[in-house]
Amino acid sequence: MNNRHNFTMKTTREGLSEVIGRVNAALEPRELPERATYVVSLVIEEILTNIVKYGFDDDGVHDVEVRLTLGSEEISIEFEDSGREFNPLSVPPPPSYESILDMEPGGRGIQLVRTMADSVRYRRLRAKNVLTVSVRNSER
Amino acid sequence: MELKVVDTKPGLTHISLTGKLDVEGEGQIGRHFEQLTSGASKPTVVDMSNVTYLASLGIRLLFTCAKSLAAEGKKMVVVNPQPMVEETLRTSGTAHLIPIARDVQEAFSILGT
Repeated sequence: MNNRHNFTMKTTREGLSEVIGRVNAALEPRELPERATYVVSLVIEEILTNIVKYGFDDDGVHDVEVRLTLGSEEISIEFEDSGREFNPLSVPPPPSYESILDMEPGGRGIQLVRTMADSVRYRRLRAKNVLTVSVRNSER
Repeated sequence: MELKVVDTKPGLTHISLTGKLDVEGEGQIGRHFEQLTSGASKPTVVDMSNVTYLASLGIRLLFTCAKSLAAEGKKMVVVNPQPMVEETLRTSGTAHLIPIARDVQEAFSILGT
């Protein structure tokens, strides 16, 4: 069975949906633990949504590379884009609120990735953002 | 994603969601959900027993509507999320601000209805 899957996403809503579907199709036959499947899907959606919404300064359509590696102990997802320099690890977590009336509804995608994945690493390489996220291939 | 209105009690809104609350799911039901919740301005029960996946867009939808209800003095309660969805709610801080009930009776009790 193929352990490596490479996808190229176009930075559109349709492109995002297409890659999410293709990733889910690659994961399904592997019958991975529920938690691993869930977190991988979440990582893919949150990181790619962020890139589509905020990654580029123009309205053009750009390519984002997604490399999925399905190991026996760990699943690795690498994202590479040529958008503006952005390290998700530098984003502070949303503040904790005592009252829902004070809170701002957005900005939780990166927090979810950082908390639910097992490791997140960022590099800026040859004018590209390269983000590598690892998820343990187990129920935890 | 499917949204159903459950007719249980007058004076409250009871919604049942089924499927994935991801980019696509939020796009399918988001507006309707807002109309039924913040639009109606009543205590709200959101049954998430059959929600299999929750991403930040879905969390944003819950927060936006719950905040709008809170401004009118009304509460939203989420019911019986599946384990991974519950982990997502707790990790995102949602559970701290929107109560989670084990079942509908507990939700009614939290809402005081």
